[in-house]
Amino acid sequence: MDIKSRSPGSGLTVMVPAYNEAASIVDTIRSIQAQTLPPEEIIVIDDHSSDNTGDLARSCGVTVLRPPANTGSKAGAQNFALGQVHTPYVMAIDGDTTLAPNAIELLMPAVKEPGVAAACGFVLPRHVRSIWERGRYVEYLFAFTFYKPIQDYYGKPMISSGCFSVYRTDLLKANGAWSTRTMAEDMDLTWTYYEAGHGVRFVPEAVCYPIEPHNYHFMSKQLKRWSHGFVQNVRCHWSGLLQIPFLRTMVVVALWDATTAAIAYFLILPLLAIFVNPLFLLGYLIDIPCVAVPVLYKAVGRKEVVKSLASLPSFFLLRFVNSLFVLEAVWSEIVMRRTLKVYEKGH
Amino acid sequence: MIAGLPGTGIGGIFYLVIAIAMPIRELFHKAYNCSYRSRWGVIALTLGLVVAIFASLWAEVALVSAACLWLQGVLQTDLHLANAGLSEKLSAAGAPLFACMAASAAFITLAVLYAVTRILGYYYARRAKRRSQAARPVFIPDQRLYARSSEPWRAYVERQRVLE
Repeated sequence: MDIKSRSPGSGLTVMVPAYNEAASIVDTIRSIQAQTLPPEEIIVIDDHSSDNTGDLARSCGVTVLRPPANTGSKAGAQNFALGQVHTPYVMAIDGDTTLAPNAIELLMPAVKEPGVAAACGFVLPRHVRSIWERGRYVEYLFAFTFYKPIQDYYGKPMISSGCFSVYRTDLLKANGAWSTRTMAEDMDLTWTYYEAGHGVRFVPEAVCYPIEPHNYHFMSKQLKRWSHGFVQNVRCHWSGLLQIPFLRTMVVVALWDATTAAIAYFLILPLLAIFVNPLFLLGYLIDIPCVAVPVLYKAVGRKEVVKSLASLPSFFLLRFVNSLFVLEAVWSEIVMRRTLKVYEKGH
Repeated sequence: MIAGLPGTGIGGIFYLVIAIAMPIRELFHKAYNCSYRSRWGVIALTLGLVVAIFASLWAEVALVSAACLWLQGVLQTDLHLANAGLSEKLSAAGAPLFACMAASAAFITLAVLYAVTRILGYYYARRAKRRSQAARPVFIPDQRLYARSSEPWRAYVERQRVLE
């Protein structure tokens, strides 16, 4: 093993599951190696990539593991590497995600708090060019500035994002690590922690930059996985969720917005506008300030006001598309009982 | 991913309500000496955002009302024959009325969902407790020994169960 992959002191191992990430894996590893608090070990799991992801990772001086066969999911790849982790903390970072230089240093204190099993950071798209990336940029700015800090205050962030989260290794192993039963292994693990009485923290100062889908083809794969993953997790955890006060309301509200409100949006609002009063069309615009205010607040701090304003319309398109995917997922998973089992990479 | 929908969704109102509840909750924490200074920073920032959101919503409604008034004037003067019905519908009072109706509907929906999840949560918590109690070994206290005890029966049984 190369000396560069080991750095004593932090008690942290970073694992990077990667499948055909040749275009981005070097940037990811370099950003981890350049941290103000470097991890003790970096493990890249080359999940039988058909490109040279493994060779590129090896050239950066990190440990590269290759399972006997493709594991079929990110969760599978991470579980394969978990046996090799001997540090008290383990971090999962996607193969296309880079970190701000002090991200690990800022995130680690949160996971060391008593009762905390995992901590996650602020996520922002690395590239903001296409309409889909712009929509995601506003979505993340809004959610991580307004929703997530409130969830953290109430002690229940809905999800510890899989692209950049740190976990206590002993609790991770004790809770069965990353389950492969759903398409959203990070949400599954987060809710499992809550059911077991553990805490999860959100640290807005620790920032990561994943590459988001740049076209509809890749975005649709990701949205399908996420929406089915959400519904699958609700199905898996519903009786446990109902006993967790804040989380149960949050999940029910999200499910309501994604289903009943979607039907109102696509069907009832247009009918009301045609047959009752055209003012019902305002329903499509009424929450623009709710989105724009937190987005602009964060954008001012990041000196990205023009970029955020230019991206705002894309958010409403993305949300429209999100709603279609969630409706499809509810129909497939709950009504038709057709569970999505094939993990398709989003980009 | 956010799939909440404009106007019809309740996610926005839910977060606004619980954001407003944050300082009240923190004051309770303070009363029980478990309040942290760092949490007040988050509360202040969130409340600032909430105030800005309400201000911008008010501005939006005022803007839409003004636009309706202008449109009503245009329709009456230029297109009054063809759009007489539409002109009546686009009254200046319509926008605030619609906003109030949408907000009321969202609040009622939110309250109903909250109540339903709370009741279901209570039911499942009780069921889980009953199941865990049923899984415990049956303990039959000695009635003859209790005859010599002066404590209430329930307290006696619990104490004996712990001793077991």
